[in-house]
Amino acid sequence: MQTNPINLLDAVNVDSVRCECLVIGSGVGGSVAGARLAEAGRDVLVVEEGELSTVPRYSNKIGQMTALLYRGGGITPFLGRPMIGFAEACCAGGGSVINGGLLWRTPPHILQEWKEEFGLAGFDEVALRAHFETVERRLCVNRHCTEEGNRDSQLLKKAANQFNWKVVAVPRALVNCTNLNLCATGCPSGAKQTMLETYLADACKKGARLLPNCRVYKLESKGSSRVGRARCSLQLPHGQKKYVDIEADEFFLSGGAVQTPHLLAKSGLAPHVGQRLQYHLNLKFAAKFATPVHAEQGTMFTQQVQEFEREGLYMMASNCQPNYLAATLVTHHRKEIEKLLNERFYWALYVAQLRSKSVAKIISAWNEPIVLNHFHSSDFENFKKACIRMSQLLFGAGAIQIYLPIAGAHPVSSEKEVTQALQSAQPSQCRLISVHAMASCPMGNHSTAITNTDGGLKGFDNIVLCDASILPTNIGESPQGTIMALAHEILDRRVSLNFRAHKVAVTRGVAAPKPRMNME
Amino acid sequence: MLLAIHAPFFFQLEETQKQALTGRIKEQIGRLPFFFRVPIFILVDFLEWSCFLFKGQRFSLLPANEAEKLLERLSRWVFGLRSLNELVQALASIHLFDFLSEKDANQSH
Repeated sequence: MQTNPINLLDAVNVDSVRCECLVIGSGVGGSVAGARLAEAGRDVLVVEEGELSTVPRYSNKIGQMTALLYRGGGITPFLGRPMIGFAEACCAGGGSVINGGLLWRTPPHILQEWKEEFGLAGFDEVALRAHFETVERRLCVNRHCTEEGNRDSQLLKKAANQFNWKVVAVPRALVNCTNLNLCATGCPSGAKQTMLETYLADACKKGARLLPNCRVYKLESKGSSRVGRARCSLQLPHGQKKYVDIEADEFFLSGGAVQTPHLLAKSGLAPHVGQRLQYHLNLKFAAKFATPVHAEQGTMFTQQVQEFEREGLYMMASNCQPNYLAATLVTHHRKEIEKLLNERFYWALYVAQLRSKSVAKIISAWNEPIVLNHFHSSDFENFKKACIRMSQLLFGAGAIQIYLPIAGAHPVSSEKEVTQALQSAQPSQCRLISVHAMASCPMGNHSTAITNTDGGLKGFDNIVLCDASILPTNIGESPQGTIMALAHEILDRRVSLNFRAHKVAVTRGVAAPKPRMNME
Repeated sequence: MLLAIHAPFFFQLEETQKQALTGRIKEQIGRLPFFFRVPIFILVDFLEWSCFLFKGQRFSLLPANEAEKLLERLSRWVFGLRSLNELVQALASIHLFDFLSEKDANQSH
């Protein structure tokens, strides 16, 4: 259960706020930043666009929870052919509240790629190990895999073993999971170790404060290389809104791979940012088995098939409630979906996650970010390969019928039918979603890098990015662990930098800045 | 609202629940960025208008099969209608089961 208190800043009666470090976004990157800065004795304010909702409020009403915890009620598509449904958190705790709690270390071949192609020094496996260990310890990461209640995952594992494919138990941030299978809508049991339970609570223990319902719509420069204040709109109870200015010495941006570049571009601080957003593609398969699977009673993603990791393909059992079954098969006839739902205990949902080669562009329209996607031709080929491999695995697991992620396609009952279905499929028929966007403000020493290797925005002294946007490329795996480890490394670099500056100032007899928080 | 009618099991809901569900979907669409919100509401109006023109009644009053047929036919001619409709259908599916489970709970009492 939620036990860790979060200090809230009551901004209803103030028009302007002053703090030393302003963290924008309370997701995994922002929470690490908030905690590390507060531990270093800095005066920290974390602002969050979404609401603060904690365990007692989470329920099995998936529709209500989706509306509460997701941006745009779960609908924020990437435009293009095919259109891709993008799901993004908009709540205190960010993605950690709505994800599966997967905590992977960055695959070594990705770190090598970053070093060779992007000149990212000091971010290798050895350098990041200590950060991963810290994160794993704090989030109580373990390989949760009970035999009971996870039949969909067990079937996947059994089939992978039959084919001699690599399959592993997934490291996840949870304690005493009760298999409610509601990870994606807030975890009502409180088992998942979200930022609200961990880093954000740690930050608050050290004096940081959280201001929820606060959207930063502009950062204003102060001189040529510094930002002076954030202009925010604050959502008050009963639909009222007010505007607040927040002045700070340093700004830590953690709004995610879409919102962070949008804010920078809108503020005129980095006009060409957000031109190369990358993401993972999720292909959802509904599979029917001859005996009941009761997939709604399992925890999602407990086993992962990694045989095709080098090709950027991972396969897992997904969260399976009637809502998601119906939403997955939305292109099919209502009667067909109703029939399937009537026998839903025989059905399970599986996901193939692909490391996409497509690149999307973020543009601004009516003050909102719009993501335009250019679907790479190789992604269509990889889509087909993923369909073939997942079908092989599922038939091996005992599936008797599979719905492929192709609009309106009939269910298939054999590998031959899968091949036939794919032969006639067009890219525009692919039904794809994404839950991981990244690399829109990549860091590194290369010419297209937006941020330095200490997370600092190029050309600015006091803006630091610490979210998925700074990853040089997409990584294939769920990025929470990578974002948190990078945020730790960046904060170490920034804190030690500022500590040195502080010491120099004191040695020279200049008054060092004191932590402060004035509410005027 | 026509788009909710398309969702599975919609007709099993009680009248007040149907209204509550369509209200919630409208509210969700109202929260979308302007860029998405406007075409979706245009889509809804367009379908209602087309329906009135061809069938002489509102889309939401049509039997489900007829509503689906009309939607299918119009999707062939109106660019983007199918994709937008899919998004809203998915939204309806996500919310619908909140109401169905409420109904089940009420009946078991």
